Amino acid sequence: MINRPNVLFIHVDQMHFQAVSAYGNPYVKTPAIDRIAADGCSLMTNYTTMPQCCPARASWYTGRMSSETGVPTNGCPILPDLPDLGQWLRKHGDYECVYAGKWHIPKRDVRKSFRNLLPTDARGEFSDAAVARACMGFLANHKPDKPFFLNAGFMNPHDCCYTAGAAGGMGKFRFAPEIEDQLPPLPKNFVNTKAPRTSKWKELDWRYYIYIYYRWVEMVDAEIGRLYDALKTSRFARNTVVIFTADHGDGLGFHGKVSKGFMEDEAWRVPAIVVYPGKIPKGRRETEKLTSGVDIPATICDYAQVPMLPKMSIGRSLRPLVEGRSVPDWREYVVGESFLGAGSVGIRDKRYKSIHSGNGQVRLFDLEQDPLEMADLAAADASRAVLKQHRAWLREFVGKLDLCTRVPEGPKAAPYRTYLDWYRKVKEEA
Amino acid sequence: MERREFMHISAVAASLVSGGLLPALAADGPRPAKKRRKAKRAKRHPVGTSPNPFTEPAAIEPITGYVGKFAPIQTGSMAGDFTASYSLAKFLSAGAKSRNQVAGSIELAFKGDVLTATETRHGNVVKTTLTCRAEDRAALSWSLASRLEQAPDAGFTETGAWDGKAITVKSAAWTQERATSLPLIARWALLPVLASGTCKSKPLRFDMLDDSTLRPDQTLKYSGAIEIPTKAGPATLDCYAQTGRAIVPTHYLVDAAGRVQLITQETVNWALAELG
Repeated sequence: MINRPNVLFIHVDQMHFQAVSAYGNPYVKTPAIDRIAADGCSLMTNYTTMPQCCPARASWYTGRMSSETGVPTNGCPILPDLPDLGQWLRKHGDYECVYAGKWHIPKRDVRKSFRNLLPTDARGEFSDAAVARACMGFLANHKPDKPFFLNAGFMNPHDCCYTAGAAGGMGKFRFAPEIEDQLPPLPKNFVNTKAPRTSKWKELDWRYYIYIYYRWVEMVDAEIGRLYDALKTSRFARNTVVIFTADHGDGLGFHGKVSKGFMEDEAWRVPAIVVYPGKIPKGRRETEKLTSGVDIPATICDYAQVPMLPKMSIGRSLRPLVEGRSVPDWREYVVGESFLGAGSVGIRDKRYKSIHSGNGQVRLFDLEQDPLEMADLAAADASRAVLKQHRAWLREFVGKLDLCTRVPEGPKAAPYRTYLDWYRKVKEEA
Repeated sequence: MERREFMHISAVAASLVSGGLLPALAADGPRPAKKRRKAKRAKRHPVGTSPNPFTEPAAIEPITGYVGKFAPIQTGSMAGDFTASYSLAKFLSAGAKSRNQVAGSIELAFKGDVLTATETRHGNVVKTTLTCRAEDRAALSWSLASRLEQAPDAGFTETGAWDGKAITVKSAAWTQERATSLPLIARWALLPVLASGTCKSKPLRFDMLDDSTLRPDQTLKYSGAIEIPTKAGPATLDCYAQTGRAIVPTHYLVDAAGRVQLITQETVNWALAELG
């Protein structure tokens, strides 16, 4: 009989990759995530597949990129025949698949794939404590006759999307002068972009946004801590793989942005930690290997000892990486997609990152010298070889994909046409 | 330009235009969408009435659409033994005023040093019984029972205790410990503290117990009296602001008799519904 481990998948929404105190951020205290990081392996260069909720989540649960799932942007319906992790682990591993909290994969009823303890609510302040309690209640009552795949879908720090006050006013931002001495400084790469949501913000408003964002991170951290410690001191502690990550980041004032959907690191890069007591060395940080949101389902399948989800074109199991084994053939580059507007694709290698826009524009950053992505090197002669290599990788990436060619009627068609037209041209280059 | 100043100038200009004292500008051809929207807004809010008279103070920003339906409770006291219930006014979105929805409640009973709280929200009922230290309402021990409406077999109970240095939480399945550095006070045990008015002159520093989680380094500070619109007319309330780790700035609005009428966070806000 196969002794399959339990899996606890904890995910948060819209978390900036640096919003963790264990990684050196002095403006936020995340004791729970710090404990998880101390117990396992942190993937320090981890990227979501698409920095927006629905596409990123569809990738976690199907193992495919957002141009493959039918969910290129929020609200687009997932391909009905794609199996998800809940269905897959039930079928191939006899897992008890359980879900609480945010799901957000359009046209896939979570109740058909998982036992759903608690529905989604879009406000973390309102629902995150209940998500933790639901998962704790499951742990308190679960009979260990079959392994579990427990999913805790926390909302925060996504509440940063609801800060506006009445009549487009600034909400509690008016409180900022009262606590000015507690507000973090602006990021070094801040520029005033005059984007619609933030065009009237003054420096104090930006700093208040960053301040309150970190409080939401701390709020969700408190709930994660409760759940994680409940697991850690329970009878399931030794035989449970814990995976923590976020669907995408948040601008958080970097490049003068808030929100998500773009390929700068603040939106694209996300924290990820894997814990398995006795199997994964404690406190490890993987800083060189580039990892992706589609590696999460591959890792879950690997640990659960079930076949990989079908047609996983890009995802690879993180298991050898996080267990500290040598993986000489690990990927050289990681790709993320965004099909908002003209679309953009980010390609990151160990040192350089290029951002290709669907309108032909390309930007290039040297992350070793310029981790805040402030100097675009695309026009420099010295960048030609790097750009050529990244272009070749883009062709290779597109060549591996099993693109979703189903295009819905009406306004939802735009993101599908964006990648289908763009990727067709990329393929033609080859 | 500050919004208040802008709105004042706009209102003056609009009244001059409507009185025929200034020419209203008219462009040839269809007006851009932005101008059309502006004109529509102006029509909805007649001259002299602000689209939102309640945008300040910050304390009621998340419930500007709710306060007009809220009547402060005029009888009862939050000193000694009392019972109270609050409605949870959830912030949904912001239009001319905030859109709020009553999406839960909490029933509280204070008797001697024991506080009993039953909170219902999002299909989860949580009952807490907390024993407090008499002199400062610090949490000494508590029990918590969680029940899910959708999954009755996923409930649990746990007990907790604070020894002045750390909290310990235990259930049949787990044990958790967290170090504290300040007196531990549960969120709802702040009501009698606020009613006493002691933190009007001196800010209160504490670690907060919320559910069984720890929210460290809190400061509760008096931040002046404010006037707010209510169903019963304007009300002047004392405003206390709480800031600290793992909470969003939280405002408590307290009437002259010490009744905590409204509590605002961001998306979760509380309105006093009954006091006995």
